[in-house]
Amino acid sequence: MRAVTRSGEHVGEWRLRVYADTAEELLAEAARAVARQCGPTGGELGPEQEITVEARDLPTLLVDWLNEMLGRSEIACAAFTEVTVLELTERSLRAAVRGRRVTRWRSSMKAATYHDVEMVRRGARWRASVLLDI
Amino acid sequence: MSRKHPQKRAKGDERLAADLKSNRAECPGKPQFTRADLTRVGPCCYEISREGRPAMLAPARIYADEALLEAMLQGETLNQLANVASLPGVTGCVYGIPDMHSGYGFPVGGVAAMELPHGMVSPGGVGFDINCGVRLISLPITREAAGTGVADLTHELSRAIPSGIGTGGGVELDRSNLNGVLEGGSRFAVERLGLGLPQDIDHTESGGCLAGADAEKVSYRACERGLDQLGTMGSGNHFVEVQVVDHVFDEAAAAAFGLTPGSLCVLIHTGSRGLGHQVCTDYVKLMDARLAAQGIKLPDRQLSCAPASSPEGRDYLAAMACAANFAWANRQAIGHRVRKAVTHLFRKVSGPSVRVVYDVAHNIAKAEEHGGRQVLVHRKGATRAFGPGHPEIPSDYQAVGQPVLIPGSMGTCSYALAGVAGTGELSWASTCHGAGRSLSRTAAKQATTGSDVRRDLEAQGIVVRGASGQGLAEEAPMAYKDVDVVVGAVEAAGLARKVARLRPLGVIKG
Repeated sequence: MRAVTRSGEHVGEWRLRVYADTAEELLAEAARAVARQCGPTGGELGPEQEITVEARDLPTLLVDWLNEMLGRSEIACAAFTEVTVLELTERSLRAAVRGRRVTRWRSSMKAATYHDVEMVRRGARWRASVLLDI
Repeated sequence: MSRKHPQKRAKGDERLAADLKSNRAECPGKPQFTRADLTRVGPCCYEISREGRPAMLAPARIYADEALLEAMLQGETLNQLANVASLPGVTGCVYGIPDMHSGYGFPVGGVAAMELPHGMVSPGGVGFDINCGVRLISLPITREAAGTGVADLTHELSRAIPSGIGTGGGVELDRSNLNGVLEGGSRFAVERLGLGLPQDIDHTESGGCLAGADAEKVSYRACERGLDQLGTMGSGNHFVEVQVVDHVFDEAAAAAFGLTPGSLCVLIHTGSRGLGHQVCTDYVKLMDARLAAQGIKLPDRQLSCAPASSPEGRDYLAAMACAANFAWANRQAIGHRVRKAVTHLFRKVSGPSVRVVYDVAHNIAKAEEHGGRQVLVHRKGATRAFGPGHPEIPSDYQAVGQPVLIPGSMGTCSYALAGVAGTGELSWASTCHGAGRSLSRTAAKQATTGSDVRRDLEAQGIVVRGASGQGLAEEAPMAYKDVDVVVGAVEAAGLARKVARLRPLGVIKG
């Protein structure tokens, strides 16, 4: 099954829920969901960038990974919608990303938070829930 | 009934050690509060006591009328306030202000003070948008005299003030000047970058520069994010509005603030942009990783904290001060562009007559003296409100109290309030920061559309520039609590008094 994202209700912020068959695809889809919020894109795909993030466990890795992508997106004014997780352990992630320039920046996302963050396997599927400050 | 802080505190290491011991013993987890858990202790004031709740190290007081309280009882809001009361070193009461709603870690509209020097500092208690705040500028022009010039001014401001990322148009900084902004705030912006007038600084909270800033404590990533963002507004709930003074409640204070009925103003609402977001991200991560080593157990990881006297705590406070200074310089830079736009459009208006009424922060942690004690007051979505005679108030406002600026949402009024005496004992001299959201963005988009919002605003004679349809729907007035009710509760509770109401005429969104 394809990875899917859903928006959860929160009065002030954005609760992102992601479902996927693998932890790798879940993390990649979460990053794509954040990238899609940046705004319309144009031009050529930029060069591939390899990113490594380390954290103490998978939920922390999810938050730190999204914050890494938020910072990179803002500095480059780019939406990194091409995401492949190359290597994943309980404590580290290595990914390759490519993105296009955002023509009109619309994102009001400030950061991903640790508040009630979840990344777990339920049966054959992985699911994650993370709250982003907007 | 006493409305003073109910606890007398032991000070220093002994107190912190006791808190940490209690903190280790139990965390409040997810208490679900009901109306029965709240005791009315004053006008628009309710208390959640510590009795039977050992994890709470301080009582929680909530300022609200019955309707606002009912809204707070839904969801996580009161749980989050109770969680704040479990932070080691917390002193007196923790407070929920009338616009309080659920956030992450701290509720938005939450106030807590920590004993210094050893109480906790929590980056989440400040938030990602460090020193998000409001600057009000009064213009020597009446709405009547301006005529169609209001629409022209709105248009000119939308051209002059970039929303931010990818649009260019901000103040170009090299690394040396960025460091100057981080450590010098508004004063550096005025004196070295030529952005505004010296008198602007006198009417800015803390003179637009928080002491203790150290640019070395700000990460390379944070600086990268800030380099091209000075003088930019951002998106979300940030805005610039052209407003008219619609009603004056307190003539003496309004006269002192320079707010006369029918005159125009510009309200700027923005903060420290990506630089501040990154500072918070960096230090939440750092403190979260070291909680176990510090012996701190938290009910919510986003409350991550460290003793203010620890290396992590000191570094965060130095970096937070930098981000706060960046935010003040940001509003200073935008205010400079407002002044230029006004004097360009209205040729008879001089630059100095375009006057900063005041500039206040509503996401910040500050060392303050209350009742002879030094405490670190965290205000997350709350505004400092010092009463008359306080030494930190500008000399021309000493008799009337600190101006407190409460932005409404598009189509609804904003307020200028004044601080009143004695609120140090009621709320750590804090009051609300806006109307506070009542609907999620998704719910707002389901309830209305951007084109409907635009049409409704235009029907009220409000010009809108720069907003996307989605952004308009998300920030629709119906998504917020009624600012009149919130401000009414503030006044009824004795946290501040109404001075003037400002009605929007032109809205610029990012």
